[in-house]
Amino acid sequence: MRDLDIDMFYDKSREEYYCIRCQFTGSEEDVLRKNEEIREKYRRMRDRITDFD
Amino acid sequence: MNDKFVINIIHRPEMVPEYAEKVTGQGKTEDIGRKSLLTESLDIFKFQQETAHRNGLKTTIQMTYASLFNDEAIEIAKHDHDSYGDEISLSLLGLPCNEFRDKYKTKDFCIWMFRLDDKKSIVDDVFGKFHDAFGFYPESTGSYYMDADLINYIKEKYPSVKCAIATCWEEGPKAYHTCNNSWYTFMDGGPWNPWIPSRQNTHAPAANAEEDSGIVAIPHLSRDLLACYDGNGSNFGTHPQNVLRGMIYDTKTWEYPYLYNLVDQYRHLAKYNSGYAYNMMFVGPGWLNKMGRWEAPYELLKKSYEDGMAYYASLKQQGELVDMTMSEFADYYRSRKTYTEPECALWKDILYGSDKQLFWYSDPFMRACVNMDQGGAIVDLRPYVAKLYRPVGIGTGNPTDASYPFLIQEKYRAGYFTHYAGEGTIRSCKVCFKGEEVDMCLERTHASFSLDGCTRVLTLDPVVVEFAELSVTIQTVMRFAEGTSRIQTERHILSISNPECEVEINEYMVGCYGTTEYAENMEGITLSCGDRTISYEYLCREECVNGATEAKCTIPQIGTAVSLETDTEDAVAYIREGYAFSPMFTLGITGNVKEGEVFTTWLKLEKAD
Repeated sequence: MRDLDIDMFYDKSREEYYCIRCQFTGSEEDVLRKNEEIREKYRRMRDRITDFD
Repeated sequence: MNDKFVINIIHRPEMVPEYAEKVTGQGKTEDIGRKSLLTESLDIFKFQQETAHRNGLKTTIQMTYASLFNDEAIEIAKHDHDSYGDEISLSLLGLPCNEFRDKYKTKDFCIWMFRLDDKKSIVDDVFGKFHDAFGFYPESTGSYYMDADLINYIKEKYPSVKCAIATCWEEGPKAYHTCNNSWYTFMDGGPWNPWIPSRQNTHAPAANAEEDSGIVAIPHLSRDLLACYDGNGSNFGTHPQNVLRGMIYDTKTWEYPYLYNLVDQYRHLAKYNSGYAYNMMFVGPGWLNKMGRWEAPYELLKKSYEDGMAYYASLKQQGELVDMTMSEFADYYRSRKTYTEPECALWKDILYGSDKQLFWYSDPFMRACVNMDQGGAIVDLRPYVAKLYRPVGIGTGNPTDASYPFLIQEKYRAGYFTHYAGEGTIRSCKVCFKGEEVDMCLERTHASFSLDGCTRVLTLDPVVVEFAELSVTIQTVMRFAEGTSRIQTERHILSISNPECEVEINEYMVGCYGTTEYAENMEGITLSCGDRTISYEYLCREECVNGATEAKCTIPQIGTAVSLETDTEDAVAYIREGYAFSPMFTLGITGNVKEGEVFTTWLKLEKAD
């Protein structure tokens, strides 16, 4: 997954989303699942941190 | 002096917010005067102002050129100034409107990239319109970038200006990549926190009154000093919608603790700056588009802004925060900081779950980044001492690149590990014993910060370097003596498993110059140590001098000389020329040490003709 502003387009005739810059195609479900995968690298995303030393 | 965490909240009534014209006018011919667009733009500004005021916070209102043609926007500014103490300021962003396009015959809106004459004309136009509307000239202004010529012109013609948003932190090639290679403006290499720009180069802080541009500069964004440097740059700042853009929130709960963690890490920087800490939030109205953005619905954009303001408000209520306008902050900054006093940040990873630390150092002579995951290697180095005159814009030969050049940049120019040839840019040390070699870049550690008089000290935890027949415990201490343009590195040999043995310390720097990932022409560069000299011709030559105490490189292209020095009498200094497939230079100092000894070197930066 490239770390950039992702431009997704919807092809009504095929009922799928696709990326104009790479080879990805998929349903809305697929896109939302990929978004969650991107979040996996943020392992402390849900933590409230109070120690900065 | 008491600890103080200061924030600037800045809003601008941008009548044609970025992207908004495309959305409100979807499917229609472009019309930046469309009433629905202008109405929505003002609604967004009103929302931002109301949210800040509801939370007991004052703002700086950066009027835009376009807003100066709108009576309602002017009245809101006057009202909020009278009622809440907001500062009425003037932005050089938000130029797009029919009036601007009719007059300047261009869709370009980035003043920092116009021809200098046009910059001056636009400034006079905008400042004149402001004066017509309000009866006075502003005390603060700003743009995405303001080169030295632009700041100097404004200060000369409009001396009331004492504060400006002058650059955006680390918004260079990585931001270009993030925006699908369509963001044609580059500005890496500047300070992350406020500074007094020099008259010669905006990124480089003034070293004294003679260099003082007359303004205090603040960054466009307060950014995560690790995530932005290691990553794509754009998603990690105290800008709630940037955090959403990075998808750093829980999709079920719509919570984003990272935003508050970021604010708090900025508060924590008081520990490294004699009790002073700063943060800013500057969200353009395009980020609060009522039709939402591609990464978040409007409801979430709105909520995140409200939550951000509420957090600042809670800190203020606890007596932990002071909200200032930009002009108030300029006065405060000048009362608090001296010219040579550096800005320091020992920053930790608060997002990815690693233990990584970076130490950022900025003063009038250099900006340096030390990476503790690489044993205290310097991974980014900008020679501010050169005070490089580098105008930006049409007609300068440099229309889009506002970055301050680097000597070391581990992301763009390889760093420690390279796949194919030679070494990338880095300042590190190799420890050698009986033909084995270990680079300290492979010795992860942590650091603590202290102050020793006017010297900032970074003390790294000891590491154990393992050889086949020996182990050596080494502690690195780095000293940044104020005003000296030098970084002192000490390798303390705490213990050796066989105390009779000695090891060789090879302190080295691999460098080049540039602002992007692509190699610049290295011809014209000169390397020297002792009585030996190499004029760079990509011929892979090397010289080595016993007893020499300095290895030096002079780079006329960026008016800089960099050297490694030692006080060890029996050291060896060496210089290496690169080759076309590895277009860097290497400086090195080697010496032998035993248990209980310290090997000391200095990296020195000088201005060179």
